[in-house]
Amino acid sequence: MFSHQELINELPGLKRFAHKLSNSDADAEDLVQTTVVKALSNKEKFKDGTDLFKWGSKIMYNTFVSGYRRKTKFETQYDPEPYIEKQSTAPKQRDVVRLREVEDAMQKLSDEHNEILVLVCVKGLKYKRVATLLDIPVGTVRSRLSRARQQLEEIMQSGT
Amino acid sequence: MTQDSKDEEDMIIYQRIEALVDGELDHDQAAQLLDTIEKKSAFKNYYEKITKQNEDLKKWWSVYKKDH
Repeated sequence: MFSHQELINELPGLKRFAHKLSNSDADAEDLVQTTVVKALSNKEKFKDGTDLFKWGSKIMYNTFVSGYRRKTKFETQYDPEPYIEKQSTAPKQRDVVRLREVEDAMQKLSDEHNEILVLVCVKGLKYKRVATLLDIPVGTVRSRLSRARQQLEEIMQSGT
Repeated sequence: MTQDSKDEEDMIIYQRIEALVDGELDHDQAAQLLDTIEKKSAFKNYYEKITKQNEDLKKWWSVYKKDH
């Protein structure tokens, strides 16, 4: 068990870690709050002698990384699209142009690159799962994804 | 360290940054990589670029592909 004061003492470090992960003041604040709530509600699972910062930052990292994926899985079973739609809000005017550029670029990408970007970046599937779905090695998933990202960026920058 | 081996090392870090954004790293790997990212602006820029690209793709899907 740990005291509230001990957790408060770790807050500066947790805030720095949250900022590193999210790159955003607002998101970092949300992440810290969620982590503190989770840490307090799982207090009894904390073993004496454990590094409290490390324990808290693990909670934070898991929250950051798997939050979206976990929600997707639980709320939609096997179809994440309704969840993705629910999360979407009407794009701001400045985003409209950007999204049109993404649409144009995605249409110009090969089917192979388009598919892997949707599976990993949109639907949040793990590389292993994608490898199984596409019947290719995990290393190929990594390299294909990397090339797809690069191509998407190049097409968007060139505007062609 | 030769330029080639340095380039290769950087290439591996760029790949790991992608894995970080895609949630493929465990906590310790992520914490270590985040420290590395902080030390070089090119890594930080790449991390931000890939994060933004993922966000754009999610928004694009929700706006353009919701009826598909």
